[in-house]
Amino acid sequence: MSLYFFNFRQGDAYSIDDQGCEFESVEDAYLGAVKATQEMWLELLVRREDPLLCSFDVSDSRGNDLFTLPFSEVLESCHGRPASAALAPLSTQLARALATRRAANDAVNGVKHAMRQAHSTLSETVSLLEQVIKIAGQ
Amino acid sequence: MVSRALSIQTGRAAIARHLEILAPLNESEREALTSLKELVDFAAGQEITKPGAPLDDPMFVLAGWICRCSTLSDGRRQILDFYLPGDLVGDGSRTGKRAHAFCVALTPATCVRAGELIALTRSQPDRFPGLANVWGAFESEIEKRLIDQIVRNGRMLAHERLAHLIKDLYERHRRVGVLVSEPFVMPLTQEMFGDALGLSTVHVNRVLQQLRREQIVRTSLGRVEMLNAQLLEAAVQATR
Repeated sequence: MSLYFFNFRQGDAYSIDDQGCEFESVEDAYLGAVKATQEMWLELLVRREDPLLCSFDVSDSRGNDLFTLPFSEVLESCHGRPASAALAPLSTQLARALATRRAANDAVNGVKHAMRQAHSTLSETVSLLEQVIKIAGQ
Repeated sequence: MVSRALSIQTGRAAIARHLEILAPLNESEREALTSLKELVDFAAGQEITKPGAPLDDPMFVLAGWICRCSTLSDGRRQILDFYLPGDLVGDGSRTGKRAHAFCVALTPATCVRAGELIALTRSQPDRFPGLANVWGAFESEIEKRLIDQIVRNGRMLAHERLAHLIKDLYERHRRVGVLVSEPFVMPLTQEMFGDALGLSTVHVNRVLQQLRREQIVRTSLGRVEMLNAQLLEAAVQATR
């Protein structure tokens, strides 16, 4: 077992690890950093802090820099990968139903938007009429 | 370095104190406790029981740290509970009484067999009214700790989990009088903390550094010292 030091960067902040963690090899140290990164993503998101600003700079006990693991790396390693669990493929009928629901939602939103515009125009008209009546009265 | 004789003496006092907390004992019962003589030593890492083994050899912990744990087929381990001086290991009142998990010594540990005492007191509840009832209270304590463990690991963030666990271990030591000196030293590695809290070693390392910056703990390889109970309490309260 050897000691590896996981210095942590978060934006401009930097925390030096003077304690270290024991691992069999640098490969295990890398896997340890990946595991921690996966766990810390969740915690950072809960605290509304940006994981993309974070990274580990890992060194050995002689002070040699071994590798840097940006937190973005664990995200990139998932990029474009489909779900590994056996989800049922989307059936044609379900796809059509989802498309219909989307279209219906869009139509409802369109109507709501038109109603809001009409309401706004009406308010404006009423206001102008009130001004006209006021001027006519004078 | 604390001598073995002193550790055992402290452990015996912890057992008596723990029992007295759970139930008032009469003179016969205190006398019966002196019959606990048969010591058993375990090396660090030694397995004490495994799943399926009959729970027919209950023991009190006199010195050292023991854990109950489960392991997955790929070697991942979950520590379910810690057994400290004054605690009872390997007893169960349910029918069949078989272990559901491993019991492993985390450090060199010394226990004293308690099977005969438990059988005697259960068979003579009139003579030993306190002790006859106390064994169920131990089970209740274990259940409470398991609930705490589920809540900790299921609902808390890493910093909360670690602060909560350290506080629990500190309180348990203080309660049975085995805190002979400050600071409170936990002979636990980052890996052991990780196994208890469902966190990776590197993540535990990060959180320990945070607790150190908050002046709650001091760390060195293989041990963590709790420095400030008030700051620790504040850290735990902040999570509620």
